[in-house]
Formats: sequence, C-alpha cells, structure tokens
Amino acid sequence: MTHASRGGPCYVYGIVPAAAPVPGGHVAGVGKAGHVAAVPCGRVAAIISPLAADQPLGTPADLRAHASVVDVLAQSAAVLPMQFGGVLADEGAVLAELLEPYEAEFAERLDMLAGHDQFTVRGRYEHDAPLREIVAEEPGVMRLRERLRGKDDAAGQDPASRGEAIRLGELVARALELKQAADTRTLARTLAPHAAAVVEHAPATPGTAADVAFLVARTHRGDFEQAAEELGRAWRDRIRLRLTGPLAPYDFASLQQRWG
Amino acid sequence: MAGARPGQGYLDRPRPSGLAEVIDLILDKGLVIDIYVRVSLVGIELLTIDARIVIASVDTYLRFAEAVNRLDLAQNGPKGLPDLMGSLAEGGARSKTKGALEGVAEKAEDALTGHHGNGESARRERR
Repeated sequence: MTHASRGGPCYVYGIVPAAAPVPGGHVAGVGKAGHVAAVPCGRVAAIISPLAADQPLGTPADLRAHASVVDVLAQSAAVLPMQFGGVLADEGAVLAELLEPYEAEFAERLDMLAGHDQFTVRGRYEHDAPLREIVAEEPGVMRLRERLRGKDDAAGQDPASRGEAIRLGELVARALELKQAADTRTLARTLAPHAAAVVEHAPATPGTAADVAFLVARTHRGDFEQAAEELGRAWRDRIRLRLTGPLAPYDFASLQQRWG
Repeated sequence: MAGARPGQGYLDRPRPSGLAEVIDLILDKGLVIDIYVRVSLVGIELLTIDARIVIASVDTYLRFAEAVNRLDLAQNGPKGLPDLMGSLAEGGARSKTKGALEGVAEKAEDALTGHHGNGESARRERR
C-alpha cells in the first residue's frame, strides 16, 4: 500500500479493507492536490488525497473526481463511500478521529457489503396518468373539478372560485402524496426478495412515483433485474422505471443503519 | 463500474456516470465524517443542491388544480397501438408530450438545471 504524506488537510473518499489495492497515479483526485493514497488502520484503510487548506470544493469536476475514485475502489473491493466533502485536518486526524474509533464497525460493515452492489430504481409517472387516477378515485376531486370547469378563470380573480381551486389542488396534492407512498412501497416490496437490504427515499418531485435503493448480491443480480423488468411491464402506461447500477453502496454506508 | 446495458423495453438503463446521478448519490448519501471535525476546517466551501419541492403552497395547489382541470377525460381509454409503439421507441424517461406533473415540477427542475450551468449562484455554505 502507498502511504499518504503527513501534513495538511486530507480529503476522504471512502473506507476499504486493508488488503484492497490503492488506485494508481492515473486516478485524479478532488481539487488540484496530489495522488490518491491509503491510510491503513487494523483491518481497514481510508482512501484519501492531500488538499490545500484554502481550496474551495464543489465544482462539477470535484464531484466527478469523488465519484470516479469511489467507483475505481468499488471495482476491486468492498467500499464504504464517504459523502462528498469529507475533510480531516491531517493524516493523524484520519487515524485518530475516523479510523481508530470505528475500525471494528467499518470492518464489520465492509464484510456485509462484500460481494454486493447498489442498484437504484426510480419511477416517473407517465404523462398525466396519476392525475387521471386521482380524478377517478377521489369523489371530492371529481366534484370540485366539474364545478370549476365551467368557469373561465378557475384560478383567477373571483375569490370563491379561487378558494375552490386551492381546495381542489390541495386534495390532488394529498392524493398524489399517498399514491407516491403506495407506489414506493410496492416497488420496495416487489424487489426486496432479491436484495440484501432496501432504502426507500421520499419522491423528490411530483412526477416521481418512487425512488428506492437496493443492495444486491452479485449472485442475485440476474433475478433482481428480471423482477425489475417485470414490474416495469406491469406498470407500463402508468410509471416508467429507470434502473441505475451497479453503483457503490452510498445508501448503505451509514453505521447507524441496521439491516441484513 | 460497469456501464448500462440495453434495456429490454420496460426498463430504462441510464449510465450511472451522468453528473445528475453522481450529484444525487454523493451529496446526500454515503458515510459522513463527524460534522464538528469537518467544520473546524475553514475555507472549504461545499455545494449542495436541494431539489425537493415544498408541495404545501397555494401556488402549487393552484397549479395542481389547473392540471386536473385541463385533463380531457374523454381520452381516458386504452392507448392505441401506434401510441404504444411510439412510447416504446422513445425509450427514454421523457415523453414526447410533457405531462401535467412536469409542469408542476418545472420550477424545481429549472432550478436544478440552473445549478448545473452556473455553479457560482448555486453555491452556499452547508450548515
């Protein structure tokens, strides 16, 4: 293993098993700093690169550099990816504040992640499918809609119409939230039998039906993808599914999470 | 990591290396170094993007109402074959015709696109 130079601030990409290979000099790190190196501690090692103290972080190039270093690590060993922006004062701090206090937990988590990849499945509602469902399913929405449709400017000047329009929109927004929660649950439950762990995210936009991360054993990948394809077929015309991966297990790195 | 392979029709397989995918993963997921240790280092500026929409606003409600009012329920029947073939051929997550919900979401997505194009205005100190 290449050892890092002591001294200034260290950018941290992730934690790997101590035996994992360190990416070679061809891998560009965050910022303009030097080469990527390992700081070993017992059964684990932190992958770092030196950083200038006054150097601002956060350009698209920095984000890509972080992601690509983590990707390279994930190709050869289990990795606990750090969130972007993890910086410690120096190499001594990497040992004393990050590795030594958590070595046992990191090693245990890396054992669980070995042989697994993350796959993220997101669903987008097709066109106005969920709105049509809501109008059909919610009598209150249907009624208010019929009342407002006759009027010229439903969201306009007339205070009574405006009040009704707000009420209608509120009903639709609530119904959409319930629909998103139900679709998220369905996605998670349908694919969970093929995954070692599942993390559900709240949909970030009204058009997002579901957003779920799965930790999948490499031996189960085929079954998992098959199940995703079948759900995509069952949901056609309603929800368009996107499957991203294999990814480094960003959603499964937190030590607070309990799973498996 | 390994790239995308062609989808089989009902599943999109984007390459995971796009900047949007990357941002989504590395900015709010992953292991976090103790926040107190991290902020003790001055001069490190972090970019964060929060694309979440606050749904509970009158403005949003009015846009939802408008979207529902514009629906033509007469079109509610099953999609015809040409339509279906068209949407299969597109292969992408984005439909030819923008959905009503896309309109509601527009503001936030514009903001996100703005972040991509113009990093300066998007930057703010985290915490």
